[in-house]
Amino acid sequence: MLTEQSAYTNRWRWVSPTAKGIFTCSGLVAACAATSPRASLLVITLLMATAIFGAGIPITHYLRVGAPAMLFLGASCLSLLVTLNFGSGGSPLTLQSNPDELSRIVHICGRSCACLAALLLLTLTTPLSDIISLLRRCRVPDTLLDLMTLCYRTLFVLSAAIHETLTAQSARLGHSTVTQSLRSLGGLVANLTIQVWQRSQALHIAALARNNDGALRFLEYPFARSARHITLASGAGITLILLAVLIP
Amino acid sequence: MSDAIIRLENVSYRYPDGTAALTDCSLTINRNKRTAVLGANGAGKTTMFLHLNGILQPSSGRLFRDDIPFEYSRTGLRKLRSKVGMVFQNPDSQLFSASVQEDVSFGPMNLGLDTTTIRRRVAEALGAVAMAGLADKPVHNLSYGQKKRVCIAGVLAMEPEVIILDEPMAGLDAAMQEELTAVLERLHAGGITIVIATHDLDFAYGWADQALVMQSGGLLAHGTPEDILLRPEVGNALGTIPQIAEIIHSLSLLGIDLRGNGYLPRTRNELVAAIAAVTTREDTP
Amino acid sequence: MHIMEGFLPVTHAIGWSIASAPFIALGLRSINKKISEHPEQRMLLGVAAAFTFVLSALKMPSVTGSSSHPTGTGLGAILFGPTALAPIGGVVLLFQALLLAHGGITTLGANIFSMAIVGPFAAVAIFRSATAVRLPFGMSVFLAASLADLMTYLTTAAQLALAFPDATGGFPASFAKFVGIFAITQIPLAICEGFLTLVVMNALVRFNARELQEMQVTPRSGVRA
Ligand SMILES: Nc1ncnc2c1ncn2[C@@H]1O[C@H](COP(=O)(O)OP(=O)(O)OP(=O)(O)O)[C@@H](O)[C@H]1O
Ligand SMILES: [Mg+2]
Repeated sequence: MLTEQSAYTNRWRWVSPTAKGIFTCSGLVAACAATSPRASLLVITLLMATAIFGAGIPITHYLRVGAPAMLFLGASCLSLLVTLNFGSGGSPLTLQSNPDELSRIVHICGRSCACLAALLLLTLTTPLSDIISLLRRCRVPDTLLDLMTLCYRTLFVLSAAIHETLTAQSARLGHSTVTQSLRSLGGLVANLTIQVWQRSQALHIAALARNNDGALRFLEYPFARSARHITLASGAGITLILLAVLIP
Repeated sequence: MSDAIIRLENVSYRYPDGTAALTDCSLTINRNKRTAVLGANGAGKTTMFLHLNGILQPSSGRLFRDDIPFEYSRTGLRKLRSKVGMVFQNPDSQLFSASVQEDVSFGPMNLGLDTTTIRRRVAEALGAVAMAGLADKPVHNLSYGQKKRVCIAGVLAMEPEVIILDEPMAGLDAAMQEELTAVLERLHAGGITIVIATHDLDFAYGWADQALVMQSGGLLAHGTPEDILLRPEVGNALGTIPQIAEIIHSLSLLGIDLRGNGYLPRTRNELVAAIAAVTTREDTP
Repeated sequence: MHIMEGFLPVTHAIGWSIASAPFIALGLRSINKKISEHPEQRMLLGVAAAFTFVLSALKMPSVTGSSSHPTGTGLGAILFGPTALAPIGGVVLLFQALLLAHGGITTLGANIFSMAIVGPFAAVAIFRSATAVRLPFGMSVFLAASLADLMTYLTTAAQLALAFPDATGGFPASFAKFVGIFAITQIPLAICEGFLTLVVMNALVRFNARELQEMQVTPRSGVRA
C-alpha cells in the first residue's frame, strides 16, 4: 500500500496527529465551502503544496497515490455528463450541453479533487495507528477502535498469507483458465475464512495471557510541541476556509 | 521459599473434542533455573504451558505456584498471569497493535499501572531485547526474528517472575538464535525463571539447567540434561541424542576422555576448547 | 460500488451519514452484547474486518474480461450476520478511504449505507427466504451473494440520482441512467461474486463443517477468561 510508505517516513511523521487532523478537516470544509472553480483550484493547490513542500512527500509518489482516485473521478464525472433520452428518437444517450449543468459538473469535480487532496494530506503523513489513537481522543467507541486496531494489524498478516497461497497455486497452474482460476480463488478464500477463526482464537488466548479482559488498551505517546502544532494547524485551517469562502 | 516455583500434581487435560492431551502429568519447575521442555510433536508441551498461566484448567489434578494452589477466580488469574508470562510460537498471533511501542504497552496497561511506570517498562523491555532502535517501525515491516523479540518485550514489560516460551528458536536463522540466546541469558541473569519448549536438542543440552522430557501427555524424565538426555528411553522418545554427547561418546571409544577436569562439554564452543585442551596435553607430556 | 470522496453535495453527505449512524450504533450494541457473552468475539470481528478488506483487494477472474474485485458482502453477512456487518463494513470502508484513497471520508456515510447496510441485510434476507422455500443450499448462497451486490449497486445508483436528478426527467430519468451505466460493470461482478461465494461456501461445508458450526457462535470451551 502506497500511503503506508510515506506515512511512516515523511517529514511530518512526528507532528501531532491532532494538528494534522484539524488541518485535514479544515481542508474538507474549505473544499465543500468553495463556491467557484477558482476557489476550488486554490484549495487544491494549497493542500497539495502543503503535502509536497511541507511534509516532503515526493511529487511522483503523491501522484501515484492519487491517480486511481482521479481515474475513478473521471469516470464518475463522465456518468454525470451524459443524459438519457426517452423515446425522442436518435441516440438514447447524449452528452450534456446545458452550460448550467456543465458548470455544476465542474463544481462537483473541483470539490471532489479538493476533498481528495485533504484526505491525501492526512493519509500520506499519518500512520493508521496514529489516526486510531486520534479517534480514541475523539471518543469513538472502544469496540470500533478495537476493530480498527485488529483490522490494521491483521490485514498485513492475511495479505501475506494470500500471497503465499497465490504463488503456490500459480506454480501448480491453478490460474490458467477462468474456471480453474475461480476454483483456485474459491479455495484460497475458503482457506482464509478458516484462518479467521484460527487466528482470532490464537489472538484471544494471547490477549488473555497478557492479562486482557476487556477493550484493547495501549499507551499513548505524546507528540513533542503538539500545542504549537495544533495552534498553527488551526490558524492555517481557518485561513484556508476563509480563502475558500471569500474568493469569488 | 521453596525451590519449586510452579508444580503440577497429577494433571490431566482433555480437549473438548476428546483428545487426552495430558494424562496424570506431575512435574516441577524450579526457581531461577533454565528449564527446557522436550518431547515429540503432540507430546503435550503446548497444552502443559497453557496450564501454567491458567489459560487452560486441568480436568483433574492440581497446579501450585509457590506451593499455593492455583486460584481460577478473576483476581487469582490476574495475579497468576502477571507473574507467569507466556510467549507463543507465532508472533503474528500475539501482536495486537501495528505499533511496536503500543503493543509492548498492552500488558502493562492491562495491569492498570500508571503512565510513567508503563513508559519506563516499555523502554526497558525494548532495550532488553535490543529493539529500542526499531520502536517506531510498524510491526508489519519487521522481520520474523524482530517480531519475535517484540513478543518477548511485551511479556517482559509485565515484569513476570517466570517467562515461558513455546519454541522460541523455530524459524530463526543461526545469528538470530544466538542473539535470542543472549537475550534469554541476560533475563536469566536478572533473576527470571525461564522455561522453553524446544525440538532443538543441542540447544537444550547446552543451555538448560534442567530438562523435562514429555511423552504422550505425561512426564517421561527430568533432571540435568547430561543425566537424562543420554538415557535410552529418552533417546527413543525424542528420536535422537544431542550431537555433542554423541561426539563425546565416539571420542571416548577411541580412548579420548574429555572428562579431564570432571566436566563434560555441553556446547560446541566448549567441545572445541576441550578437544584443544586434550591435544595440547598430549603434545606436552 | 464506491462513491468518490467529495462527490456528493454536503447535505447529501451529511444526510447519508445520519441515516447510517443508527445502524452502526445498533451493530455496535449487538457486537458488545456478543463480546460480553463470548469475549473471543472481539478478536473474531476484528480479524473478520481485515479479512473483508483483504478480500476486496483480490482480483476476480471476470467473464467479460474487465477485472473486478469481490465485495465479500454476501459471504460476510452469511457468516457474521447483517447487524454486525455495519460496523465491520464501516471500518473496512474507512480503511479503503485512508489506505487506498478509494471512497472517502465525506462519502463514508453514503458508502456504508449501500455496502455495509443494504447489501448485508439484502443478502441475509434472500438467503433466509431461499432456504425457507427449500431452494438448494448452493442456489441460496449464489442468489444471496449476487442479489446483494445488485441491491448495493441499485442503492448507489439511487444515491447518485437523488443527488443529481436529471434536469428534465428528474430522479427517475437519472436513476435509469446510472443503473444503465453501472450495469456494464456491476452485473458481471454480481455473477462472479455469486459464483465465488458459492465455491467458498462449498469448500467450507465440505472441509470445515466444525468451523461452520462455530460460526453460529459456539465458543471453544475450555478456555478461561
Ligand atoms: N485445540 C485443540 N483441540 C483438540 N486437540 C488438541 C488441541 N490442541 C492440541 N491438541 C492435541 O493435544 C495433543 C497435545 O498437543 P500439544 O500441542 O500440547 O503438543 P506439543 O507437544 O506442543 O506438540 P508440538 O511439538 O507439535 O508443538 C495432540 O495430540 C494434539 O493433537
Ligand atoms: Mg506445541
